[in-house]
Amino acid sequence: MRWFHKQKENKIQEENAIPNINPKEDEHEPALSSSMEENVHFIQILFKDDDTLVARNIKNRAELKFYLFYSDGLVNSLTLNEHILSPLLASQVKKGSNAIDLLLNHVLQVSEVKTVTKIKDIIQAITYGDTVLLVEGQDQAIILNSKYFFMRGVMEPDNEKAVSGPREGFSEVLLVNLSLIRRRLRTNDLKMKYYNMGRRTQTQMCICYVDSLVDKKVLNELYHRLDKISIDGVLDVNYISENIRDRKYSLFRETGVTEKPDSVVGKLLEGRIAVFVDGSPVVMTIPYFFIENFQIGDDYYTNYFYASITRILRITSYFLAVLTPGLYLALVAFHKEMIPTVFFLNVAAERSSVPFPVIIEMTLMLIVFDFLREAGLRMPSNVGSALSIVGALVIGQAAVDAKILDAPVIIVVGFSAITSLLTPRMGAAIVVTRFMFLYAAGLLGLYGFILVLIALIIHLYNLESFGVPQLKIYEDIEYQNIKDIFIRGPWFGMKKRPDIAQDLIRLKIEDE
Amino acid sequence: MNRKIIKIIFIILLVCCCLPLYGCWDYVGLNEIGIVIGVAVDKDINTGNYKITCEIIDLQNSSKDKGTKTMLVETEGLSLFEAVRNAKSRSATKMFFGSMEILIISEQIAKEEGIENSIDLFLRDAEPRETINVLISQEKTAKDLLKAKGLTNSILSTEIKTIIKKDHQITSKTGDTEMFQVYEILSDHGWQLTLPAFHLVMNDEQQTIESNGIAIFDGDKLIGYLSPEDTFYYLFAVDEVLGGVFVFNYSDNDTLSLEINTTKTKTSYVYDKEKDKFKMSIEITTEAFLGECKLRVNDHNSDLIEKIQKKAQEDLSKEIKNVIKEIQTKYVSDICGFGNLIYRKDPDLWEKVSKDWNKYFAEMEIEVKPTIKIVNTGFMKN
Repeated sequence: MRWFHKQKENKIQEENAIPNINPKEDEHEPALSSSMEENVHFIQILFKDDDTLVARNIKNRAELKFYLFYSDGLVNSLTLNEHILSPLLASQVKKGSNAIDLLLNHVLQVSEVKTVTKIKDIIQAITYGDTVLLVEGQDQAIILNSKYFFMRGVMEPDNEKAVSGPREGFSEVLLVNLSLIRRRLRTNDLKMKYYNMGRRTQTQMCICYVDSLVDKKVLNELYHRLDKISIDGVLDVNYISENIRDRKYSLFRETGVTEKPDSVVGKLLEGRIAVFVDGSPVVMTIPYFFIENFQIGDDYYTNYFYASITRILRITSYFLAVLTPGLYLALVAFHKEMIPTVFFLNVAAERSSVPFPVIIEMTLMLIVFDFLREAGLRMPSNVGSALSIVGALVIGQAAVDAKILDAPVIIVVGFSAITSLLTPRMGAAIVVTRFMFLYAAGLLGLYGFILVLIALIIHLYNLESFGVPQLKIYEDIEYQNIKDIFIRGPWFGMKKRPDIAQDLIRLKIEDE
Repeated sequence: MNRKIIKIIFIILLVCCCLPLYGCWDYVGLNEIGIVIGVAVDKDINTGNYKITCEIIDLQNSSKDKGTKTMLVETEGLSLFEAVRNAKSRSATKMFFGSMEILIISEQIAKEEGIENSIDLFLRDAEPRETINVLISQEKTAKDLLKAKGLTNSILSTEIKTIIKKDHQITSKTGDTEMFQVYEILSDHGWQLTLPAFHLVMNDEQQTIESNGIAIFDGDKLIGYLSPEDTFYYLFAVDEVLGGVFVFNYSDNDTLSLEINTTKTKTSYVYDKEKDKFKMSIEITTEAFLGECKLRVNDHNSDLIEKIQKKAQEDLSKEIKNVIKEIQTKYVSDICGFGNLIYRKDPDLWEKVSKDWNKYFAEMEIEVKPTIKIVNTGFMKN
């Protein structure tokens, strides 16, 4: 059992340890000198062979020299012309030690400004669409916010379609995404901490949580794990989540992902932490429970009877998708007496003229289905009808008519395929465990099937997400503990939060 | 890191090694077996060999359009087990008994050597289900039954099983006894076995099977039959009626049919010992629907219903008594399980009387008190 039970040592950090954002601060970084020519020269050397860098040299009425640096295409030219260039040109600021203060207080018409001295900050500002203003005789630079990107609008995400409820989805711009959260959670209790990740990409991440609800242990653990990573680039949140998960080799998800602000807010309100990454519409939420694989936003916006039924459907569909091929194989190959007689006779009649053993047929069909699914995802939509014709006719009907495959196998695989589509978040877990069940059943019949089932359940109970068990065993089953597991309890019954939160009371109703 | 990779490769290799091993345990492909649906057991008088006739599914000739076809495989052997194995020399496929539905035993075996020998193999073997229906063939051999053609189902054995089940449920003219019950009754105290009996009849110029009452056993030996009509009253006495129609004469030219509502039927037994004689009183409470009747009667006509009820109770009591009397005098075999009743309630008493139970049973005084309530007349205008 050593393979199954490899205990990991997750040293949860002390609760009062102050998280250290950006630990790689270096004291001996190059800084600006007081000579503007030297500074300009230095920046131009840094951005050598980069034609998008624009350097503009101007003088104001008092003959004070300025240098403006910005990256072409990243800045808003309206801001640049009307609120930076023209006030600068018209200003009367003279050369002197208070020039920067005067400029900031009286001249520049930009809301977000700051002064920096480090070359590193200047590089980051230029690459992020800000404008850098160098002033003659100053060893400080002014950074002016003039960002302007082209971006996708706020659209409904394709893989989380909602029937009812909010339809907004995240886009690729971090600030827009954060605004979608802030709009729904208007309290100072909502904390949004920036975190830089990626040695080359310098990607901005944001860690969101509700301060009075979040479990500080989990938060510190998150910072602790993030601090350990030094990655080249971060293009999606998955780069992070695969690095900081508890069991790196497990098939099952240990961090939640969503593209919808409403579900992120819902999770924040349950005491979870959301991690945003600039450039990706996918948001990671931690800690993650196994049951979240089966919860969708719609559950909470529709009638709770209907939501409960669909959730039970989703849970059973996962088990059916994983178990049916193995179960069918075990019954047909080893335990024929357990099949109802009439069905058994039909299966036997079908099988009598088929060349391959069931296990090979099953493997073939499952792989073919995975081909079809992957092709359906990647192909251009205008050849879609060709795929369905080939899939349905050639592989289904014709293979049976040609007596290469028998119909029950196609039915079982088709059934398994349909049910696996109900829980798209389980992806790998379904595909791989399905084969594990299939081969165990082919090897040892129902005996092997049950062995793998036991192993699977042990594994699930071993899963943790940031030190929180994914499947929790309760000693006493109370309604408040199970209200949102197999059923979605009505909102008037959701009195407590899941116990990862600090403050458990969610709803109070006054007695009349 | 290196060790980790080696470990993973090692696991993959181990799994791959397992793959060619599959099938070493109990794997039999569906195309390698002959599916046995029904078995008929006969005995050759001259050689003393058992002759087994198996109805197996003919997978070659079965198709979607024509339906399932069956064929018969005959084998012979000194014991049943040997006979089953000998089938291998005739057919290439292995006999698979997991879907077996009926076991037909010939009258001759049942009369001369008893049925225990014939069901033993099927009870002991792992494959057959214990819910196989055991029945007695009233024809010369058990094989004759299997040679007939079913009317509704192309598989005769399935047809027979369905007939037994449905006949018991709807007309109560045959008893449904499955193999595990057979074994239970044979090894129980004060209780004798009955099995459904089948014979051949002509239907539309074609020979087909028909259930024909039940066979009465003493121990595991066949001693006689009850006709289908008598079976109905016998099942009433042992509280096994699952449905059925009770027909009686109300007056000389009025025949009434009552449909028995079995969910409301309750039977209670009270026994009493006086000196050397047992007295058994059976109380039956049941509800009935008036099914067919020439009299003009409806729910408002309570006087007439009252009279019909009274007459029905008298007739039912008389019929049940007659059947039990016949069993007591002609067969002297306690198929009603009265002895078992005493065994369960008073084991000490049973200890004393069990030796001469047949004598006690034959002299037992039976009293039947039915209460029939007609709850529905099927409304007709008066």
